[in-house]
Amino acid sequence: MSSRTQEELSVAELVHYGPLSQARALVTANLDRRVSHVELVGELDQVRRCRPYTAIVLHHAAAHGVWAVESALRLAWERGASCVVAPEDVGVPRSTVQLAERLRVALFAVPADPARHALDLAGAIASPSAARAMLTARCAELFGERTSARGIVGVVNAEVPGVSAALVAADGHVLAGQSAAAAAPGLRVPVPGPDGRPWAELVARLSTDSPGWVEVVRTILHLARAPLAAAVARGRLSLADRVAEDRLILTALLRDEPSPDAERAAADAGWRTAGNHVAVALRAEGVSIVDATPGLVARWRETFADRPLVPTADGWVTWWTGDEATAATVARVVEKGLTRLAAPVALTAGVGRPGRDLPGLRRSLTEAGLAAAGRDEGARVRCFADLGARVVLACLPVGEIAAASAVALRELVESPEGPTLVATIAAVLDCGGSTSQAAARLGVHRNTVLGRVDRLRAKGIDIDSADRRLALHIACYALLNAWPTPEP
Amino acid sequence: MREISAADLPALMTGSRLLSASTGFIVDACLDWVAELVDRHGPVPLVGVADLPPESPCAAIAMVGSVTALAELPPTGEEPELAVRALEARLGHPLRAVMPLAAATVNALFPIAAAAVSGLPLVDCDGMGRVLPLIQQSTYALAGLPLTPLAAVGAAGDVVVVDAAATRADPLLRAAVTTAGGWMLCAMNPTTAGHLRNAAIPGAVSRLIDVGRVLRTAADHTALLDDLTRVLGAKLLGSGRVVELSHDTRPTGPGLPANPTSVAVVEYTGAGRLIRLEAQNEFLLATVDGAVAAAVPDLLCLLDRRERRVVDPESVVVGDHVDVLVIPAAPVWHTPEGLRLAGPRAFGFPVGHPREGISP
Amino acid sequence: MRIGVRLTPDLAHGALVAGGALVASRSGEPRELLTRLASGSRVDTVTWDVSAVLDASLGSVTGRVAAVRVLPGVARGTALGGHPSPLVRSLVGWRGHVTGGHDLFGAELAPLALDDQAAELAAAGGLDTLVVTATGAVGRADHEREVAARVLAHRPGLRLCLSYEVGGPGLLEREAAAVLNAALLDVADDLVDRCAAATAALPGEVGCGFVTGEGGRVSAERLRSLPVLALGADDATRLSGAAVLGGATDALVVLVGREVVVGHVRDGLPHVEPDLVGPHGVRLAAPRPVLSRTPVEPAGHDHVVVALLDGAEDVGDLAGTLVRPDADLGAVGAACARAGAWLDVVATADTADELDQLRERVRQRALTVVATSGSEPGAARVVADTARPVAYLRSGVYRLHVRATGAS
Repeated sequence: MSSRTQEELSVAELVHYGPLSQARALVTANLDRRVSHVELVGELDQVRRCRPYTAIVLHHAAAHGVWAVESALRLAWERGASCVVAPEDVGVPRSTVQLAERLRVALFAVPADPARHALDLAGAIASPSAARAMLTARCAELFGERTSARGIVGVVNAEVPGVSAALVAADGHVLAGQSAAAAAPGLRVPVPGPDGRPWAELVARLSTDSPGWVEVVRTILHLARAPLAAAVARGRLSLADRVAEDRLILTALLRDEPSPDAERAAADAGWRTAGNHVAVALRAEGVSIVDATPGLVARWRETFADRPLVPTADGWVTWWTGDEATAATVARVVEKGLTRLAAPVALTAGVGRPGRDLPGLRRSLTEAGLAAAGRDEGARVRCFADLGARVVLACLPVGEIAAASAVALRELVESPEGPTLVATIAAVLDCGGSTSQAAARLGVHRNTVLGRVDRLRAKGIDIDSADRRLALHIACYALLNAWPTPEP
Repeated sequence: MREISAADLPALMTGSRLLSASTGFIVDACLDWVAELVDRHGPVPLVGVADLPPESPCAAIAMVGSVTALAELPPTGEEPELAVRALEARLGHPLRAVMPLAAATVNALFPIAAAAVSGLPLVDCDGMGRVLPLIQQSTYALAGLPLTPLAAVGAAGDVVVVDAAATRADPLLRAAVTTAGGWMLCAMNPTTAGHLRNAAIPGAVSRLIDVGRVLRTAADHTALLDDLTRVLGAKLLGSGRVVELSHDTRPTGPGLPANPTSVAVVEYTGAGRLIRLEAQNEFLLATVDGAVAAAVPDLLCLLDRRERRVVDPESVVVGDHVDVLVIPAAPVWHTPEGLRLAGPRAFGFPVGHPREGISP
Repeated sequence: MRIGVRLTPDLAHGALVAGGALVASRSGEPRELLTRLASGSRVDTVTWDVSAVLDASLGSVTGRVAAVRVLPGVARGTALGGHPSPLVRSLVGWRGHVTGGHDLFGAELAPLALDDQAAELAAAGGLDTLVVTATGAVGRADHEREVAARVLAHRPGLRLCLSYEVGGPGLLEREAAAVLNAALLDVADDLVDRCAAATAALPGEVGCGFVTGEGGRVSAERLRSLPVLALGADDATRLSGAAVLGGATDALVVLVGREVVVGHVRDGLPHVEPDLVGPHGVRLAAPRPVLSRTPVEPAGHDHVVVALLDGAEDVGDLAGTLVRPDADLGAVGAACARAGAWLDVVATADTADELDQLRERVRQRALTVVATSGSEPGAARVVADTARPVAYLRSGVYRLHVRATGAS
């Protein structure tokens, strides 16, 4: 007997995944009552004879008006019925709802034909496991039809009544679903990535927690795991498509006023637009971005997993998101990663300052680009924050200035020790005119530097001349950047 | 033998207002008119049905239709005589007495007017003991008295004679009433005093006058309720505030005029029980927390707790503070036949009358 | 700042109210009263309760009104041919009858038979005010308007009062309202002139309005043409005035003076009903406050405001906010009166949708009346709206009451 009771559905369960989910709940008292029978009531007298634990569905009886609904509630209460279902078009007023509350009888209104509703209820009650299985099966079927994580979590939220679910990353970030679900304690099911490693958690909050119901929800969440992993894998497999799509999404996202579609697409791609971002820009000299991208992205994935690498006009960008991300930490990670990556092309990287949300990301990306563009001997990864104003130089049209400089300083440039002298001018000016510092930087004796400065003066170039110093400095900077890096 | 003089009329009206709440100049005008008739033609003899020779032909007089329509289109004063004459012409013999169909408000006055102008006595009886919406819902019909032939007269001078089966007479008459301006004065239920003996609620007219005298002298609200309990056996179902009023909440009953109204009263005391009154022209059914507590043919009546006036379904508003009273109907209405004719099922409520106990 | 003045035949009582609170009060001759009350401060509106003056004047205008009824049949006898109200009877100096009229559904009961009578009606028994009351005019006023047109053609100077402009259902109620209205036209003309002049003497642009029996405020022009609306205003203003002083907008108000009067204020407005018996035993179709003169126990959970008048001390066991007004309650109520309208309509609607549309139309009409009574634009709102089926008529016939109020 007790096992039978255990098997029977409660009103709550009929609300959650039974036919009552289609009904408007007017009074939700005593939802834990089990439902053993269903009675389609055409005459009020039928209620008078109904057995305890009956779900009473008013059909023609209710058509007599609100008073008849109240009479049914009263009789249902007297007979220990489990709930009363009335047709929506009776227009149950507040006073009737209050009566049901006072009697503590659950009351529902259904828009459709009550007779059909009674049949559905009877079906559900006759075979509780079937009702549970039906919901599970429906979810499984819908999981199969969804291709994104968002869609799969959406199935749980839409189809499983009284449950809000979310897919939560290891760091607590909500990847998909209702963030409210993540906040409350509830069911948690770990979801592995396509590589089998723990990737995220499927979290569900239940409005009620009858044991049978918890089991049903747990089963459905388990069923969602494989499709979720597949959805993630699918995203990672089609690399070329992924890269092209990422590029589109990023372009759309970086507009001044990104559309909700763009943000949704970004979320679908697993990108977080909210929060603290640190952007990274990669540059490879003398390489076609288009040609280099497939190989680079493939190696990138091996090293940086699902961190996106998005090709741009003059390189690639990526970013780290999270409150713990700083320019320094990201720079270290990138430095290490680039070493491991063993890219077929020589890469330099710039790291922007941290920025919040989309505007912050946009700024950080710009800064990263500037930092990456600059040429700084010996440093593969440069932080915008460290470069400060020097980064401005990175914006200069180096080629044009170099060409102009080659004309203006022809005598110097074409002289045999031209490159040496140009480097010397740059070093002295970089060091604020200090020849000893410049000597240290160039790795020569101070006298050597002084000698070069004298020779320069002989060629008519006075690095102490205040009105020429800036132009000279820029010219040398441009020439140095335009020339191929001398072999060490 | 008792007589109705002009001096009795105010008490008669007060008494009859408990049964139906119509107020307005039209009632005053009809009262003045009947007083004028009684003054001109002399007091109307009020006779017991047993006082008449059994073979005396008699008929019921009643206005059928809406008091609101009557107030908009007052009688010309010719109607009672025309109705009596038309029925007599159809019957082929004169009447020897008239009686009320439902002695309440103007329908307590029209039979007196008919008696006065025709020089006939008024039988001290009634066919409803309250107001019921259909003309066949009377103890006369219950006892098998024929409803027709029936003569109806409108204020525009229309005279209609209806010869039809009892159930057809009401819809036919109602169509005529609508065309005639919303009300007609009828002479109906032609019978004899002998047949009337077992078909009428006796003493109904004199009871109205007695009740009216009590009501006019009651000192306060409590005394009023006590008096009503004493004189009419009234029972207080509860007191509370009208919280909801809805129209068209249930389908129109079979052939009933006007639209259904549902009134929700929440009691002041205790748990605040919900008293719901279902009305269509009259209050027909009362449930307390969903349990049927009272039903037609017993009279359900709302007394305004502030104004000492009867609140009818037409005048009730949300916020009214009311006593819900049940005044038991005449015993004949509680017989199975009586309940079949004028019990809740006759008004489309699929429930038994509380007096039937648990319904079958 | 708002001023309310309750005018009596020999004295005016005034109250200055600001932000719903009494600032000053005094009594005296109207023009001087206003100047003193204002005492230099900026006054926005002056609202007059002239009901006592109108009421008192009814005794001096007997026999001045001619009345004609439009009915399909001629009434026999004095009771049905005349009027049950002694006051109405005293005001009517001549009566006529015309065959015609409509039923409540708007169908013609009899064609208007006026050809032989137009001249006789126009003569109006030598009187210069004619009241026309047609059966069914509450729903369809064609016959009243046609009588008016034909009679005016004969006698252009005749003053006409058509019942449908004044009242709701109930031929006798509507006729009573129209007769009283007609009888008060001259008095009202003079009163409105005086009140408007006194108001205009205040500095600045000051609105001048009048309180009606339902407690709302109407324009001088509306009162000039419909003075009957002002009857019973003193009951309304006393109730709302007591509620204002008691700091309540919803309350059971008990006025304890030489007699005890109990009424209700809801949403700052006195609870009113049509067809109630008013002064002189006249039952007008125009609404008036529901008053009880028997002390009743306060039912339910009402807030109770008890106003002690005329030095009354004994309040019995009534618990509530006690007010000992040092101002005239009527003047306070008048000062606080807002633009108001009350409509009472009988109409047919065969479906719930039709009923909704019908109600909406009546609501809009009420709001229009409020707007034309000087309400601030956009402040008009419907405060009560009922539709009740008329018993024992074919289904679909409803009596609609709509009450609207505004800010002015």
